[in-house]
Amino acid sequence: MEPLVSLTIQNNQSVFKPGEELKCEYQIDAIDERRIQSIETSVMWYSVGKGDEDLGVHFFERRVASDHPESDLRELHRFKTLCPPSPLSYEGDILKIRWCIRVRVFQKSGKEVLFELPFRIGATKRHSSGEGTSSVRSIEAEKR
Amino acid sequence: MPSWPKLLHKKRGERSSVSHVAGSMGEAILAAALVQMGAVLAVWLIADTIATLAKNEPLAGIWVIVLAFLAATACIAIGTWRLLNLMLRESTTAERRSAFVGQAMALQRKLRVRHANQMPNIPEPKDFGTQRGRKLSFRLPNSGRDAYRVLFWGLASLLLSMVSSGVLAITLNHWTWTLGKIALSIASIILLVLVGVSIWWFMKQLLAWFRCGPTGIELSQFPLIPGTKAEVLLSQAGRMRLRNLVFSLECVEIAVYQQGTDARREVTIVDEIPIHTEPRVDIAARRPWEKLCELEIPEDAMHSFMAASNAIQWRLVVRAKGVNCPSLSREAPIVVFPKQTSF
Repeated sequence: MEPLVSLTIQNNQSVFKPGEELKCEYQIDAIDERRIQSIETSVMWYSVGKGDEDLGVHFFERRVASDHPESDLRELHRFKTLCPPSPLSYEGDILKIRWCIRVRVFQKSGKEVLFELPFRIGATKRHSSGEGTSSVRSIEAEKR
Repeated sequence: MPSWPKLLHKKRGERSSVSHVAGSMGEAILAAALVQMGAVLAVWLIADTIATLAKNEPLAGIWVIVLAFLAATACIAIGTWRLLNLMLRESTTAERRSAFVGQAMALQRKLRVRHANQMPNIPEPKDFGTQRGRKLSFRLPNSGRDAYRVLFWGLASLLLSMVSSGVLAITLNHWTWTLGKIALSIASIILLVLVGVSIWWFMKQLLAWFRCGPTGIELSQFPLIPGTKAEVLLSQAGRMRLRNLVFSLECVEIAVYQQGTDARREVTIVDEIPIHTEPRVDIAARRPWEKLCELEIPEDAMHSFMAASNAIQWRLVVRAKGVNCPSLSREAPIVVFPKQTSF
């Protein structure tokens, strides 16, 4: 059975301003504590679109079971970070920049489970949804 | 009454009997001819020497060949240097050339003391090479593609001349009516036609280069922030007549992706904000056309962004159709920071 992750943003909002504090908590269920090897948590942005994927990690935390023999990695864990000034969330035509909180659970069997919670930083113009954009055209497609 | 071109140049103080464009063009043609002559002579010598050695015949005189080859190399080097020097001189002002030298000198220092960018994935404004403007605070470097076109056609004509002279040398060396020699003769004729076409295109691009003077863009504020206004001064030098000059602010998305073993690049304009449109512009030599405009970055505009495979770039673009001269297309990238109030 796959482990379940309950990941929530404590601020009760999905859009943040740069510099604002982002508070999160997560809890793992439906898995025996001895089967968890480590858990990685990151607050990151990634690009979606025509270009190859770019990503940037703003916050990263790794908890390894062997480092905490007394504690249970499944228990509720909280973390917080300040939202960076850039890049802001963006929905363009051939490029989208998306922010998310990512939790990876590594099992001793070698299996890996990923959970993702999206959120936005800033409020910039959305191009792809056709909100108030001028003419959109492809001007260049070249080989390098 | 039409004025005839004057061959003899007289200069008294600021006045000159020959137009500036004609003088520079003449110098450029001379430099280009020097490069072509050197290249043709060098390839001819190499081809002739190889052909002689292949037949086990003695060389006419090794020192004569060495001296001729040195002369050819000198022609190429001097011609190339003169041509590049002229192009740089014609496309930039003395202040900018001086700034280039200063920048090159400071590059090493800059790399050593470069601070980490406070704004992740936003281009560093210092890297844009802005200079102090003449009327406004910042002068932007523009990235027109005219220079690339001149260089492309210059190199194409040079390479074609070298190849054709090599083929011609082999063809004319001990001519006989054999099938191979006839095929080489046909190839030589085709190559000579291509040489002619490439030289004609090169001259056309060179003329366009000299007629379209440098475009200057100055800003009162750099980098820019959404929701703010800035003054922008556009100046265009040269000696030409333009119609429908459009000066605008563009936002482009750039995506680089792998397709098989190729890396491809796609650029899409996602926003175009017109700044100024001029139906007709007459630019006189030594008197650049200037226009002071107001630029406003939209409140909800996305900031500049730069990553390994994707980018969002803001740029000021000047496009105009030329009357009896090539069209103009120049652009100057700018940096837009995220809105300050969001912090």
